[in-house]
Amino acid sequence: MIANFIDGPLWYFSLFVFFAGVMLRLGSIIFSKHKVDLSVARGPEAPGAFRTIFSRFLPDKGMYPHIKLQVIAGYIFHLGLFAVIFFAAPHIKFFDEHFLGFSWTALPHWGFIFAAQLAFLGLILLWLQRVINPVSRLISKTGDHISSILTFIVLLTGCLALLESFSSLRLLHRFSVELFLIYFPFSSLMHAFTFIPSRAFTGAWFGRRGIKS
Amino acid sequence: MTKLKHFWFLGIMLMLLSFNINSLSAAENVQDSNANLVNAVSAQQDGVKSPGSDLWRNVRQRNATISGRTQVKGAKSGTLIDTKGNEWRKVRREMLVPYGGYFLLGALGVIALLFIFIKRQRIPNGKSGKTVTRMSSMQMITHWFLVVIVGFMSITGLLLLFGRFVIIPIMGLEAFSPIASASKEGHNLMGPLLIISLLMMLFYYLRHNFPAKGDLKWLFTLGGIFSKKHLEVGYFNAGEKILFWATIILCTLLSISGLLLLFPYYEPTIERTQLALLIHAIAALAIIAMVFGHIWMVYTVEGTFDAMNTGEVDENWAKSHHSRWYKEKTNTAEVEDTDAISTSENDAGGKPSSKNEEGAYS
Amino acid sequence: MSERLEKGLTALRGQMDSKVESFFSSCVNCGICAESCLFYTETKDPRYTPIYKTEPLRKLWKQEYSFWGKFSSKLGFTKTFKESDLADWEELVYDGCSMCGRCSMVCPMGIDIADIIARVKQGLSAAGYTPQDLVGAANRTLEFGSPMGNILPALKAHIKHIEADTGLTVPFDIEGADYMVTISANEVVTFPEYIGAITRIFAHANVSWTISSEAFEATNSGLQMGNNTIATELVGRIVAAAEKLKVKNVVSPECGHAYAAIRWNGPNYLGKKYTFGVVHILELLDELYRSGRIKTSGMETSRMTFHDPCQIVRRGGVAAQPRELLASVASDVTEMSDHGRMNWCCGGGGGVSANERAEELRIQVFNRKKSQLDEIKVETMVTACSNCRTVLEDGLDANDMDMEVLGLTELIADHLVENEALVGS
Repeated sequence: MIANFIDGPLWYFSLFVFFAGVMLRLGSIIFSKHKVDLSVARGPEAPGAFRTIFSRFLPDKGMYPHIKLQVIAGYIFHLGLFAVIFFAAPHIKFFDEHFLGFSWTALPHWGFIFAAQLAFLGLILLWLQRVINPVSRLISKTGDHISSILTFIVLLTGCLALLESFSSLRLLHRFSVELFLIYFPFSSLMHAFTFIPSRAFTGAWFGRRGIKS
Repeated sequence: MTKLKHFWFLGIMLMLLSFNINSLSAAENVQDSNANLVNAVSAQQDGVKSPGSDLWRNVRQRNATISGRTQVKGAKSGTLIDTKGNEWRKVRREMLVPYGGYFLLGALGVIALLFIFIKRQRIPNGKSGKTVTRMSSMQMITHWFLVVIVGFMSITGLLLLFGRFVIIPIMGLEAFSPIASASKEGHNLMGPLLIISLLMMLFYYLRHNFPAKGDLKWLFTLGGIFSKKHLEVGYFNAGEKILFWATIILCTLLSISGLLLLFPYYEPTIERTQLALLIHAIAALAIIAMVFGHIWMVYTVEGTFDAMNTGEVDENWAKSHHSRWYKEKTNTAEVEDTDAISTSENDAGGKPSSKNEEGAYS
Repeated sequence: MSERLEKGLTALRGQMDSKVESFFSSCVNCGICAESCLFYTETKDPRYTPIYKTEPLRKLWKQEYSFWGKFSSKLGFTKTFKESDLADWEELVYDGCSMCGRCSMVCPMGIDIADIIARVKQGLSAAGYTPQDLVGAANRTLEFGSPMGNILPALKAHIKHIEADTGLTVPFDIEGADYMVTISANEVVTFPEYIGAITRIFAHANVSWTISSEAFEATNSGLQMGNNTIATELVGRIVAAAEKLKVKNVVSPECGHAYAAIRWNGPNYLGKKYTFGVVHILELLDELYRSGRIKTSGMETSRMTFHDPCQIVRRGGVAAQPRELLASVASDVTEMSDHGRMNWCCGGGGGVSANERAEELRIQVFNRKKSQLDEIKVETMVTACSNCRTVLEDGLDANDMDMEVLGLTELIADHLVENEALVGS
């Protein structure tokens, strides 16, 4: 009964919430009031926006020694997570069968294990830094902790189900993914999409003033 | 020649079995096949003689390990059944599990008694409200990272060692098999992160953990637990240093034996695998018991937890438990800093009374 | 809900747009911005984390504009916005932020944090949570034309001196001039040599210029306190004067926020494009230098460095020009470890220096500049903002550092070729 519910209605509901929510939030950025700058521009906006979207992947040189942990753990986590989501054999098979109808090369088993370890390492360190560093301890909201813990649970249940032999473990993983998808548009997990308009706005602003940002 | 016949038979059996396993993992009707297995087991128990058992007995030839020849190249491919496996099973079932269990329960009991009967030691003169920085963020992150990893590994490891005897009676076979599988996958996956936390531990804590003046005295008086004398202690006391080195040694043992167990095909003999398993289990039990003790120690000395919570400890705590470190810290601190000046004044004023303080655990 | 809170919230609501929406949607509270802010690095007080200073607007956004907020307020779960949510932020935003915008350069999500803090100021000032000193400065500007009162007599007196010393005339209210020069009050009161310097340079380069006696004050207290109405009024005066005199360009003084107010914010305040151009004095000088109209001789030989004023360099885009100009008159220029668009603020921008309450904090955060200067061991620091100059001198005094602070424009004026000949004619 529960199995049918998780595989059926809840799955479609979570997908709906995820896609509708993300669309709504991106839409609210695109369609809300946008002020036109009347000052004479010194440089073009578009190249600045484009530049900043990519330049912010790297930290400023002078800042790096002070934010090593966030940068290193951040990269380890995001790369590991990306590899696990899009290059794990069961995931590719799942995308192939349910959404896309085509597949791509999966990571070998050891590659998957390694990527998952990286993701865990980064995630745990980032969350500990969030709790321990006085700055992030002060500014973090409940939502940030929920996001971290949900991501951890999704990763964990996925790895516990590695043997792919027990439907109960698979269902647990799927259920946690559904929770994650439902929570996604309500939280700062949205940064996975909104970092692009955010960087673009700032990049355009600086581009207009002829400043590299 | 008869042996060769057995090989053929076994080969066919293994093929059938592997097909069966494949179909098991592919299909989702695990429950059905589980039911079949249960049926088979119960049929055997009903006294129906299995024709296979004679065969197995012959192959095994009691306890002598015999080697044949095979086309398959591999370290152990000539050995059909290695009776050492059964010996290990016995050791595990009859020694490791019961005595390990008693050991853990005993440790828990001792800690419980300590919690109940030893009075919590308050900060001498109460909290001053002023704090000194004791731990950097990275030190705290390293510690808690180790906690997360050791915690996860302990839970999954204990489930693997004792789960069969605890989970099955409570939740049944159907619940235990996914739990065991999940524990095994999780344990194997997270294990290597212990090595990383070990390296971080060494990087951020090693320099505070070399033996220093007064460590022996601390050990002889058990940290002044019974005396009222004030002990001079640096950054860490001897107990903390022992905890650190025990953690390092046990985690190193766990990491090495764990890696050997993760890659058993690179391990030539089963004896060594078994030895690794035994070391792994004993080291794990030891570290878990040690963690219990560590938790009690932190609880019983008020103000200690702050060091790992905010990294800031109360001045009175620092003065009484780590007086030498406190002096070094305040003397080398910026002289212009008004806080530092005022604290050193306090220190001078507080000195005469400090002899009367209870210096337990310093 | 009290009236002032209502006013503050209305002002904050008016600040919502797509930028705010995308910025708050992407912040993950990583705390990296703290390390870029001198108020945090020098005090280690996490409350000075830049993104934390935007909390009033963020809270409102979360409650009234975000997906989750709308949803939960329907269910009646939202916490009400209290007056303390604004009041408690006054000190953080006005005393603990110099609007230097360094945080905007380091945010991995690309959030322009300084821009949001400016929006928060709108709400705080509308609710009346603005430091008294800033309000006073704004009122004096509205009434007398300058934050330091009526300084036209002082300006005229200085000009009389200059004219007597150099034999040049300072052109007032000339219609159709190429450049209408604006000045910051600080330059009139503390650094009058700036006016002498531009007089000599413009005469040397034969520039057609003028000063409007109606609107020569370029500083903008409205921008500093975050009141767009006042800011619009003050910029409007300059625009009106420039239109009346039919000048081709308005020259912004060295002062950083004045440049931001006239050059970048002005057209948006007034809601129209200018009929004239706006250039920063350094841009103009550099242009004159490049076209050969300024010829310099002699080199300063003391060890020098250039302090980048935030609003001119990082937020204004005038970064190459001061370096080129300085290199033309100084032989030994050493850059600080973080310079150009990543410079560290003097600590007095954004109205902090005008706010007496913040003085202790301002001196404390000057340690950042001090450690930067200690690294390179220079004898002279050159800058191009009279406010930076005052703050730097204060900071150097407080730390007993023996270092000269010079204005770049004066330095150029001191090295003009045929200086003597001009005086004679």
